[in-house]
Amino acid sequence: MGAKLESATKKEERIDLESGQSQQYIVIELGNEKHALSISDIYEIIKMQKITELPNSKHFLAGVTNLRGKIMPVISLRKRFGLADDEVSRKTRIVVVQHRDEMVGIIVDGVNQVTSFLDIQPAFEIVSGIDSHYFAGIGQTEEGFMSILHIERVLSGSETREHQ
Amino acid sequence: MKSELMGAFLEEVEEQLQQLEQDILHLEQDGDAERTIHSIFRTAHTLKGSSAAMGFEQMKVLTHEMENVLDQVRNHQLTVTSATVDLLFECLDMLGVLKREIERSGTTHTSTDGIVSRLRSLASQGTGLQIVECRIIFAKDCLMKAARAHVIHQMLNQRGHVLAVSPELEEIAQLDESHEIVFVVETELRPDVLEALVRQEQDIADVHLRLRGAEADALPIRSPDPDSAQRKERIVGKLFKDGKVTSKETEVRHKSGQTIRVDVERLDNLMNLVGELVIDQTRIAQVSGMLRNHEHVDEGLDDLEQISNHIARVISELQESVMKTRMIPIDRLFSRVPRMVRDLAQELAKDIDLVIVGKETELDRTVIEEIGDPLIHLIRNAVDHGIETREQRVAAGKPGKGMVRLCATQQESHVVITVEDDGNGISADKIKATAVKKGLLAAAAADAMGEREAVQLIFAPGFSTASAISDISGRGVGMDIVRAHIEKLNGLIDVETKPGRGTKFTIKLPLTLAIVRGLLVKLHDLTYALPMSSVVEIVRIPLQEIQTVKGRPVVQIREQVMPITWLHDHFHIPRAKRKNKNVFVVVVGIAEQRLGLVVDELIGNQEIVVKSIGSYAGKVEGVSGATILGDGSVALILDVAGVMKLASDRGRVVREEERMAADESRSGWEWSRPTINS
Repeated sequence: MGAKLESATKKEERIDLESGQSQQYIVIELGNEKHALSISDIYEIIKMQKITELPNSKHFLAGVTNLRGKIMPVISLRKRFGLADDEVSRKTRIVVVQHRDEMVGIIVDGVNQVTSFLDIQPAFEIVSGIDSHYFAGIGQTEEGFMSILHIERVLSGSETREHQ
Repeated sequence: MKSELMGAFLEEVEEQLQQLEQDILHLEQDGDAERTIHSIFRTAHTLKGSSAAMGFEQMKVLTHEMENVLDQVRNHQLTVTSATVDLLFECLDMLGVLKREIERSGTTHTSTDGIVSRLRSLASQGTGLQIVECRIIFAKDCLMKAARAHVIHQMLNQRGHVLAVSPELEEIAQLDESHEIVFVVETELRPDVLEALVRQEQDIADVHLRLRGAEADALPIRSPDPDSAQRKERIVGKLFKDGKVTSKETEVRHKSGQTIRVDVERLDNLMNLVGELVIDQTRIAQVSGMLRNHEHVDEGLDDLEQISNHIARVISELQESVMKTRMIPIDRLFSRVPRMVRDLAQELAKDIDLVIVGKETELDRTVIEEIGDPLIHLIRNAVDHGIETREQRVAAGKPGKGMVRLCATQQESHVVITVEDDGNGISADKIKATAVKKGLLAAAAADAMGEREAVQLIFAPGFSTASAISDISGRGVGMDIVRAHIEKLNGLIDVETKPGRGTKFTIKLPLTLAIVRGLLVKLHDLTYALPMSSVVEIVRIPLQEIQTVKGRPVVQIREQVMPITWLHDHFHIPRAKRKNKNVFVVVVGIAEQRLGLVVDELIGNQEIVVKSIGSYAGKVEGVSGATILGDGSVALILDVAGVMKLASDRGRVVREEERMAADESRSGWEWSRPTINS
């Protein structure tokens, strides 16, 4: 997986040099939707592995797992967005991001290609039923639009909108 | 590179400051013992050197001035008074301030001018020192005036410092007509004594002594440097080219044992790696165990087991060695105490003897870091609330001087720290009254409560007996925080008190936090670890022996009724289907409290590497951390204090329902304890 990602990144970089575009995004799948995550937020992407539940914790916290000898909390993006439970498949991945000196895993249904956007606009009020609070904006690609996740807000503990 | 240097510098400063503090305290207690003065001087000198090298001018100037004062003390030109000690303490505090500023911003902001000028004025006082002009007229028939002059010079230098000679010694031989020589001497001796000494020398016709002002400017040899001490050195150095000045430097030798300085992070990393090894070793053992259960046992299996056993032994030795490198003497913490007690006692006008025992006891550095605040809190309490004023003590027929005893000892894999005072003790009645007033306890329950139990109330959240909130302790954070801190470290705290006689707090701590012995149990299909230190016993109990008393399940073990709980209910895990008639109950305990945990399966006990869940996941009640099992999965480590709280909170819910039904009947305090952190 890592190797594939790397080669994709390299290809993008070449294109970037030509087009002058800089920011790169990884496209993740969640249900029928596709979202984008800034590549700079991502530490690594691992396959789904055994997760130990933490009783009486945040509802979207799936539990903790062993990331090379370190205990890493893992959240479920589905639960975070109020979608039906995860069905773990061969495509399910844990996207590892850094959150205030700590690694945090995010369970997603799948990880696709690396992309970059022609244009980024502010997020709509509601994106397919999910609070726009979680999005940093809407990115435009040649194929269409894609919402960009605001990692900090997705991970932050509060359930309600913090501003707007 | 620069930050590494800075790190080393700050570390050194920290060490030197601790040394300084100890020495100044010594100085205060034992007067100006030569060794103490030398040590303080050395420390100041070292600090001066390193701060100058790092370019921290203010620190350099401050330590330089300290050095001057100490130099005078060392040469018996200045006696140590309490004002001197106080000033040195102030210097110490100032150095601490500067150090923290450097740590934070890489530079210093606080002005040291005030303290520096006070040091200077102290140095210039140089009590008892006078500058004497000593005019010697040689006898006319004196043949070797130059030699005589040299002899006198040497004699004077033994009794003081010769600051100047006129004419210069080298020139005397040429000045045949002159029969006169003038020495300017700085000395403590009275002029008449000095005169008598000089007159003992041969070939002397007459001696005239004249006192000169102590002012440095009055010296015959002019120097643009206003720093009199430095100038003195220079003058003396000029007069004595054989290097009297440099002899001072040779004293400043570093004591260097067979030690090296290692970054703590490296040790932590090493410990983590050992932790990984422990995990992998359990894994190997697990795999060979599984192979043993196979039908066809391979011949190589014996070898594998042998190797596995050997590795286990090596790893446990490795673990012990690494653990030892992380251990530091508790003195690191205890050394802060005398100063604090001194300041407090002074502030409260109490007379207190502090006794410290076992400061060489070693503990993991993490434990030492964590135990600092609670311990300081206990000691402050002892001084503030425990020890009475001199008058009160005398009236009670006790010695006027109070005693606080701080003691550390190692007992197997634990360290026991006690904080003891011979003060007024804790009054159970007063505690009960306060608890009732604060709504922590019902009046009826208070009456029924025994003394020992009542004293334990001080650990209840929101409890503080200090009638007036003082600056010293009792700022709302009380013993409950202390207990929470200690329990977080898998430690225990207990209190014993005798009214009128004193109070003793006992803290029991594990030697290390990183690797502990854990009992692995299963609830449903999930594995949990319990620290062995809090497991009292494991019993198998027939289901029908579980009874319900006031809505809480209990069992009777050896005539003792003990509450039990199914953690399943708290953790939202289905209770196991009851296949057999017996259940396993793991009895856990903290101090005198006991609780039985019903578990579905016992896996066994093994070394577990304690890892933090991290701050993102937040605090989970009843869970203190996590560990990685042989199969790579994560098991949660149960925190016994938290589990007990969970169980009693649940008990409270039941109780409250009961109370609603049975109208007025009041509940006991432990169930009406307000819950914090949630």
